[in-house]
Amino acid sequence: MVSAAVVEDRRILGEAGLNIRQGHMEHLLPVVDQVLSGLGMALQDIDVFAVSVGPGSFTSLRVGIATAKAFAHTLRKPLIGVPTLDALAEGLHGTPGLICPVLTARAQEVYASFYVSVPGAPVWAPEGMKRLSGYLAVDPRRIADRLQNDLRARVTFTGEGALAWWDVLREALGDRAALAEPAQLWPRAALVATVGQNALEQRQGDTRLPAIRALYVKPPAIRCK
Amino acid sequence: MGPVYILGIETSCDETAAAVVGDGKTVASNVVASQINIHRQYGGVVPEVASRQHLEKITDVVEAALTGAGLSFADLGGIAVTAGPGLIGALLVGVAAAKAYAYALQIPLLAVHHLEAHLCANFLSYHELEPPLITLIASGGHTSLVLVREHLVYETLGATRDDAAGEAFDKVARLLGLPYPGGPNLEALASGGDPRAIAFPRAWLGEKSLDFSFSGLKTAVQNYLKRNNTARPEDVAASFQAAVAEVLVEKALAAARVAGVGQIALAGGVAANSAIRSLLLSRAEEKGLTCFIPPKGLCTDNAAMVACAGYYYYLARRFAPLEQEAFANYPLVSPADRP
Repeated sequence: MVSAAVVEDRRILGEAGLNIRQGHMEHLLPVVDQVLSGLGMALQDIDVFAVSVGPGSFTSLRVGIATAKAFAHTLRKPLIGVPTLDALAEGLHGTPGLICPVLTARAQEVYASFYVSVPGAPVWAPEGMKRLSGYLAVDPRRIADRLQNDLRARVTFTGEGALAWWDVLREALGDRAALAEPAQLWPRAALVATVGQNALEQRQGDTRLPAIRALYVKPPAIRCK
Repeated sequence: MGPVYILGIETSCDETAAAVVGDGKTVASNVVASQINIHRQYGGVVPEVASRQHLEKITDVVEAALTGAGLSFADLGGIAVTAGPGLIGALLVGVAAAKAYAYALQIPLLAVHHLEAHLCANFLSYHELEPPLITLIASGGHTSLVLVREHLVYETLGATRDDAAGEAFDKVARLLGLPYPGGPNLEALASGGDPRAIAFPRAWLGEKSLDFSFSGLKTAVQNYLKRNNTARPEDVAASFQAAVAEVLVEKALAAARVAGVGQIALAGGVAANSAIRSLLLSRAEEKGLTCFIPPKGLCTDNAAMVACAGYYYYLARRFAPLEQEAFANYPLVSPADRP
């Protein structure tokens, strides 16, 4: 996914994106440029930058984070790192029960996390979404195992990983499992900007550039020589 | 009008580097954040670790380069970056950042080849030097003889068919039980040894060939060590180093003869090796060739050489597009011949 958006006080002014698995380096700046030039804006007009920090493909994350860091550095503006799973969950604000964004990791593994949308909270407010777990790298069949103990919960899955593993999740959880509508299944830059704005307002997270890191979830694979 | 300041960025392997160079000649700053202490514990460069480090350090290193030069972003005329070859995860941090800096500042992006940057260390070091010249580029990842006909016009006359010279140094260092980084440690050991003690083979690959091969030499050292467990490691190191130096230097001289060029320049991390530097100096003098050897700090990976190479792209108005990518494998061809 390559996506860029300009958001002003939670109003999406413009957004563009390509749902691609490769070619992030090639497409990111042209997509950014398309949004800005379409709005008659320049990068200098941006006050705060937000970037998704994963978990996800290390290569794609590095392209996005390095780009966002250089933007923020050049313009001396703050940069917020936003976990991609948080951004996906934000898209399901107001959904009752549990919310579980799922992103494809490797062949038999997904990244996932659990959230609950706080009843009565205003849309996209900082206090509107509560994360209930860490950012997990798990076998998708284990997600169902985790939830079967919690018999009451209805779970709405989102993210392309949920789509890919829907049959497995559905079979394990039956009617308790729901899949988000297609438009919500991909992490979008407007949601990243919104979660970033929430974090900024709550003064959460370190906006110093070296502190913005990818959420690798796993330590680097090292083959000793 | 003041000089054109180019910010260079280099992240192709294990050094996060940024530098500012004025008019392709004056090094205003040259910052290298080495990861050597991190990779030492693994006995070599771990690509994933290198990539993570680059992403963490990149803005600090760029900031240090600007501060060191006493300049601000607004003073820059272009952003130069190593687009390849190298470790892909490492390269793309530098390329993505360079693209974003150039886009944010609305100044040209200059995408250079790592070897081209290495050979430009000579133009940085010797302001009177002008092509044509032969460059011997030898590092941990490359060993090539390149004819520079004019700025940005290259012809590769020879290259290694297997290991790079620096790779051979690292592998033999490991055989001798030396810690990472192997090259400098092997050189230090060799300084106490006799370079004529052991006659290790030289791979000439035929009379006319300007190619290199170092894997046989590594195997010869391995076999020698198996058979002679009382061998003085100093002598093994010195004799191995002499074998590498002789082949590199003689082939560079041959390349100059074939190309009809009177100038030879050394580049790349292996050019920091004193034995190779002094052999090239003396042999070039015997042959009446002028020899150029950059200071050691400009031979190993750095961003000043990248900024210098970028300056020639700037002069030729060869600006990279927003779509610029990073390339793990990237043959050295003249920019005009690239697709």
